[in-house]
Amino acid sequence: MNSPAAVLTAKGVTKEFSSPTGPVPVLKKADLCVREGAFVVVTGPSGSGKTTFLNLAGLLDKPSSGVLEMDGEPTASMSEERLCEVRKLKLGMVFQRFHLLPHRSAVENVAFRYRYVDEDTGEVRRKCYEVLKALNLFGVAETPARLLSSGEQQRVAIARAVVLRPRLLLADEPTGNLDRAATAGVMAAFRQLNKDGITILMVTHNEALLDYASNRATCCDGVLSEA
Amino acid sequence: MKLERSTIRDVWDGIRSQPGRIGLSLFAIAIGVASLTMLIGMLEGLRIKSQLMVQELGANVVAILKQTDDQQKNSHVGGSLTRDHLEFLRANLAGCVVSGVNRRNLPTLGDQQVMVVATDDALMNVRQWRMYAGRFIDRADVQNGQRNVVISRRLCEAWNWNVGDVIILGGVPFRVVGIADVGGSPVESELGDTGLMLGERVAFVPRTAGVLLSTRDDGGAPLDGIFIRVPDARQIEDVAGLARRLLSQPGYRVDSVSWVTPDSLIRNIRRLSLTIELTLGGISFLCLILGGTTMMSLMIANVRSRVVEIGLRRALGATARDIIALFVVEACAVTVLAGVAGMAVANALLLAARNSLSIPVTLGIASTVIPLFAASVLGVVFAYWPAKTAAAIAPSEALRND
Repeated sequence: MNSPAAVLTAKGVTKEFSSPTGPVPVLKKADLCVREGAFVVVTGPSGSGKTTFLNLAGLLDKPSSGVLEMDGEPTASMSEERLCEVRKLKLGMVFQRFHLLPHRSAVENVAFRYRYVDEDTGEVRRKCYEVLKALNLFGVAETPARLLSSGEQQRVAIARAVVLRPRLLLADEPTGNLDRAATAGVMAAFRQLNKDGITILMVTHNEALLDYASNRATCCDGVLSEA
Repeated sequence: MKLERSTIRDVWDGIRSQPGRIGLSLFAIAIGVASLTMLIGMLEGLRIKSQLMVQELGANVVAILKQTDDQQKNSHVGGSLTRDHLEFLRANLAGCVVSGVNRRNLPTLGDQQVMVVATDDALMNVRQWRMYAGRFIDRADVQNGQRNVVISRRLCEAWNWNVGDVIILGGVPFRVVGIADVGGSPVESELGDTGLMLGERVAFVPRTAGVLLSTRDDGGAPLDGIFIRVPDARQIEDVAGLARRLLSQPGYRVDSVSWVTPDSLIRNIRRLSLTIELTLGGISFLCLILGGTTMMSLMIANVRSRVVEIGLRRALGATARDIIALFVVEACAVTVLAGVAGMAVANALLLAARNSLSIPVTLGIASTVIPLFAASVLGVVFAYWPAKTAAAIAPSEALRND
């Protein structure tokens, strides 16, 4: 039986940042393969390079060396336009601080995912309500984001990330700002999305969340590898 | 359609995020645009006015006009215009038609004033107005001192006077023998050429009819102006030069007069235009630059406060061009809004002050399109650099900025 196709592959990926005292290696070596349908959780202490790796996986940054492939396509050879295209259509991102537009309602924040996608407005609205309903947010759809609880805000952020059915959902410490109950709600949402076929790569320092993972990886002192 | 709605929403969110700074930019740019609108309106008005004045004077007419009392205070040599000067010019300017006039405002119906011009039959040949009805004053009228009058068409329309009617001018009855299309321009008495633009309510009477103060008909009878029609417009400066030389001859010397030719009219208008351009142009330029720099600082602050949003947009697939467009469109929306406000203020001010302004004003397409275009360009120019800076922020850096 064939194993599922690789959505994201990192081979010997490194990332250095320049500083007045010379280059600082933040990610020394990352080797990881995220296959279709997987729920990969990367754990590690703060400052170990998890977020740096997630930014590379989200094509928000470029590796200093190594090979990073998205659906078999090396990201190093992608043009700026192509990178934007992949970010737009294949990736969904969830951030620790949600990054919602505070004055806009929950449904408008979800619809913001379509800001740079050409799609019929009525259809967008329908899909947004559908995903909000799936995440138990239908009742607050018209509420401005700033008035929602942290757990609700994070679930709106998840809705925004998945409304376009991305190939890969990236989550950076999605429960970092949440209490236990909200964390459980958010993780339940992730589990459901994964069951629905969305591939997830999540980084967190909270090892308790490893229970949700189908695949685990660790990041320690700039070295990321599958567990 | 969806994209336009999203853009409008983005712009609205951007604007309401910094109301104070936006208000300041709006104010400065609106003043600049208002000045620019007024400048263009005045320049356009002057352009039309110069055309009207040349049209009124005639392309090949030289006018020698008595100076106003203020102007005469500075003159020390020579005398005033008289019939002797008129006859001297007639005798020496071969091929030219020469006519003289005396003007005075006289009361007629109630308190209404009419400009009464005492002249001879040659004036029609010089100014070549079109007759709407009847005839102009003829030689017999002048020789016999007939109390006949030719009125302007506006006068005819205003008071329903027609050929054959008897009207009272300065207490004296006159019979209307003709109606002439005189100028028709509502602009008058600007640039000191009160003798040139007769206005709309004018009546011509034979100089011998005795309705004006001077009833003398000898050579020393004073004149308010002499008009010379040159057969060929190309000779106008030569004829004007010759007439100047003639009127500096001993016994005919006059210096308390203004010489008006189409060229001198245009020169005067250009001088006035330049003054307005420099003053109002300077004000509008400074205000627009001030508004532009305020706009730039606004956009820089806007970019700084929205770094995370920029990162989010990049994460959602926005290209660098999308980010530049976001801030430039936002700036343009503010500047165009300011432009519309400035234009509205300028239009309101000009309409309110139109009658008391000494300069003609014309609000047309140019005074709408150019200020709006200038406002849009201002938005693009001053927002481009902050927008480019925003687009250059690495998405990962932007998202970390929180």
